[in-house]
Amino acid sequence: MSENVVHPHAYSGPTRKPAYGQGWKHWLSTTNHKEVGILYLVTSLAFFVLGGTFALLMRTQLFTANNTFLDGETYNQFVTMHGIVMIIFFLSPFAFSFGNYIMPIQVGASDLIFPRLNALSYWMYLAGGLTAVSGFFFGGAAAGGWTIYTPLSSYHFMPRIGVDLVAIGIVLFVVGVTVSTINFLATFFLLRAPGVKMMHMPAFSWAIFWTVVIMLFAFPALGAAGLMLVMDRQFGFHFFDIANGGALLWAHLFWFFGHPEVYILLLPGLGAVLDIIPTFSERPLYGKRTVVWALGIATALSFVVYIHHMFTTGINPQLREVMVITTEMISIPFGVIYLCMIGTMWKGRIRFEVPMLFALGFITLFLVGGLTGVFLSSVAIDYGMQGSYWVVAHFHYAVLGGGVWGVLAGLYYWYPKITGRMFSRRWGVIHFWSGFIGFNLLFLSMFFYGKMPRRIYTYEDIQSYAVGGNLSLLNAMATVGAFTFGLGIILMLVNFVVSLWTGEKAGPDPWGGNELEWTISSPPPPENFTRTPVLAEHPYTLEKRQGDAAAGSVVTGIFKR
Amino acid sequence: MLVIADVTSVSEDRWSGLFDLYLTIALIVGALIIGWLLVSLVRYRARPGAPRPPDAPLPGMLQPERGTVLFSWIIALTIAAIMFGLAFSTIHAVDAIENPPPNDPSNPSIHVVVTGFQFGWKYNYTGEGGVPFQTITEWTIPVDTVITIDVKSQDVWHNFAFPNGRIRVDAIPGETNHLWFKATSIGEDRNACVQICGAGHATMHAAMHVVSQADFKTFLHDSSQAAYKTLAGKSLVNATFDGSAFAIAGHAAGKASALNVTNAGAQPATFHLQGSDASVTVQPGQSGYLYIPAATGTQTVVASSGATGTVS
Repeated sequence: MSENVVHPHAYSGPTRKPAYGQGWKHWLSTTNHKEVGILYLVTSLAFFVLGGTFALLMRTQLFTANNTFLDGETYNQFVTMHGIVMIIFFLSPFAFSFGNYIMPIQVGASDLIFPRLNALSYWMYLAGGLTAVSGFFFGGAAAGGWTIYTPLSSYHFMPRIGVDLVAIGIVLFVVGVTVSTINFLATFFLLRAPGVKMMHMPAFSWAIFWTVVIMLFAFPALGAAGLMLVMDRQFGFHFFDIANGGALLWAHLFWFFGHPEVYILLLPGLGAVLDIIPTFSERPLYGKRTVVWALGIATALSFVVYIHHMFTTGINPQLREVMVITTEMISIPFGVIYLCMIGTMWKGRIRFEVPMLFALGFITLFLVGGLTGVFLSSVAIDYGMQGSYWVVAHFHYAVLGGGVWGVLAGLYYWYPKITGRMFSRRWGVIHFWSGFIGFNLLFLSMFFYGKMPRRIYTYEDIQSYAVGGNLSLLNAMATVGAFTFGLGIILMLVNFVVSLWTGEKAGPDPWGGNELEWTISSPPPPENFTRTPVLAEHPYTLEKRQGDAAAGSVVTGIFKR
Repeated sequence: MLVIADVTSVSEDRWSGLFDLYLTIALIVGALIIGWLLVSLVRYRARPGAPRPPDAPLPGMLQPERGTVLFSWIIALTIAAIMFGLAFSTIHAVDAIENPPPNDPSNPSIHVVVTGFQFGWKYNYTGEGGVPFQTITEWTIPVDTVITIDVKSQDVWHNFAFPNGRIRVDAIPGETNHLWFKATSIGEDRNACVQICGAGHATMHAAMHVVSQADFKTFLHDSSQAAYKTLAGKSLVNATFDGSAFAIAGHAAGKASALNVTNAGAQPATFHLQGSDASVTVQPGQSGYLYIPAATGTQTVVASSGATGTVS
């Protein structure tokens, strides 16, 4: 290689303007990836509490048959905003708080490649989220379900401004997301520390990588659909006119985004779990290369299955059969990932710390979500399940039991790194059990009243809709479960806030993790690494490792600094 | 507690068979995974004094690549085999769920057009002599008879559901979807909307009365006569058939009309409208109705003797 060839790694990293001012002004102008990550974390948790409140209000209404706590219109707004807030404005930003905070450290970078664009993405997200929920103060929010199907969401059927605000909020968010995907991809390709190949990146960084790939291709469809909806409603464009087959056009655009979105929600949590299991099993991840490619295959497949959301629309039967097969094929990469997750624990020394408990919760709950997904991949079974509580139970096991539990595991895992303090283990364990029991009480019950139509604000106590014949009792159990789950979240938030002051000092590596973030202080210095970490030796030998360990030289293992 | 007689259907039987197959496989796979997980957790839990595994990760160190891809291939191919089996059984079942069996002349299928609206269901039947009639938020069907349905919507997206019969199909404005089912027991059941469609979505039900075939004939006859009575008030065409020739009085210019045929001959006679399969049989000395749809041009009524009459 000649002297004047510039290796990408010769790029010395982004230059960052210091944030202006102190206190709150500092937070308004910060571009540091860790501080932006904290902004994402706090904001997304606020949206989580809001979306959870909507859910608890709905469960209160459904506690018993023929309840009159909420009316149909209000309930529909809560159904809609619960979905939109949780799926769009909570879970992805929550996962990307760690994408922001942890990923650059894991690849040995001092920041994302475009720090100011990263800050822009956050502010677009905040603006989008606030816009979307502001409908409640302007005559009511959108009320067509999170899918906001046209023509119900057209001006004719829903003239209130809340629908436009949701669509505009989504468009703002999509702009921020698209900027972020470029930022993340460029960081992965250009800012890895010298010697760090793509395959050296930890599983969490890989999961974030595949997530941004999906985001790059999926979100623009939603952004376009949202923009078209606003133009249709306010300026009389005719994109979604029934006469032009527009009722189906929206569904296609929406689900082209909507199915990949499920993987956008799932992969970061899965990635966190794939980092946590080796740490607490004290063994390297089993078949990491296979896991990475399995995630890649899931990424590719996520774009060719979305018709399964539209099986009962009378769509081309041949196309539908293809989508049955592609949908069922998704279980192949996830089956392999399960093999690797549990295989990692084999012959390990498993410590049941709180992050590990949540990772095990992820494995169990997402297993149910995945297996029930196989049922719904069948057109024939879908004919009996469409729009039912069985479907509600399935996707909550997949998205809440999968995506959210994985990121919650990550939150417990990285809390000491971010704050420099340990949380209370006892309250963390209590949160785990109240969450796990509450979750199953809530969503396992739903499988047993799977015939009941979803998104209905009131129901009659119909015997034949419930296994065991008592629909009201099963709904009451679900409501009790929802509040138990919610209580766990409150315990977690209180635990985290109180531990900021009372927690023990964590030190650089409280869990015995091996990724780069555990080699630097907690919380890390602004530039992450005082010197650029260098992957000096590969592949290393067992003797070398044992020698390092014996010498107590933990930080300067394979990564020389 | 609301008890509705759980009407079983042919679709539900097929559906349950398929569901049970999926459930069996899911339970076996789930039990294997959870079992393996529990064994791992119990066997390899950190006991006091347990040695660190020799390849335990150290901070800042690259994790060594571990494991063999052979196991991954075994898992992948096993899942692929199971999934292709399931996909095959699905495609097999969906053909039966979607395509009605060939029409049985001794027990012909009933065709009903279901239209969703905010907030209820309209059921459009074709009655005796071809007269259309409609019932709203309730409908009646015969037991053990193939019901073919066209599902439409007149405003927003709905989904026509018969939860106990495992039937759910989207009602999309501007589109028509088709499905069939066969109720296998007499009783009361309910249809619901399972696609959020507005404030009244939750109460968008319809009562479904499954009755004996004889009762259904009565229902069809009564509903048809009522429909003709209403129609006759708007446009009535009288015709007399003397056994060999027609005498048709009045006309129906582009208007749906009730044709009231009096049989003045000595033999029972059957009349039908050319180009349709609607017909009416009239006993001597009696009269019966035939439905003339709104169409321009001349429409021809044919008697069983071969005599024709025209309505213009």
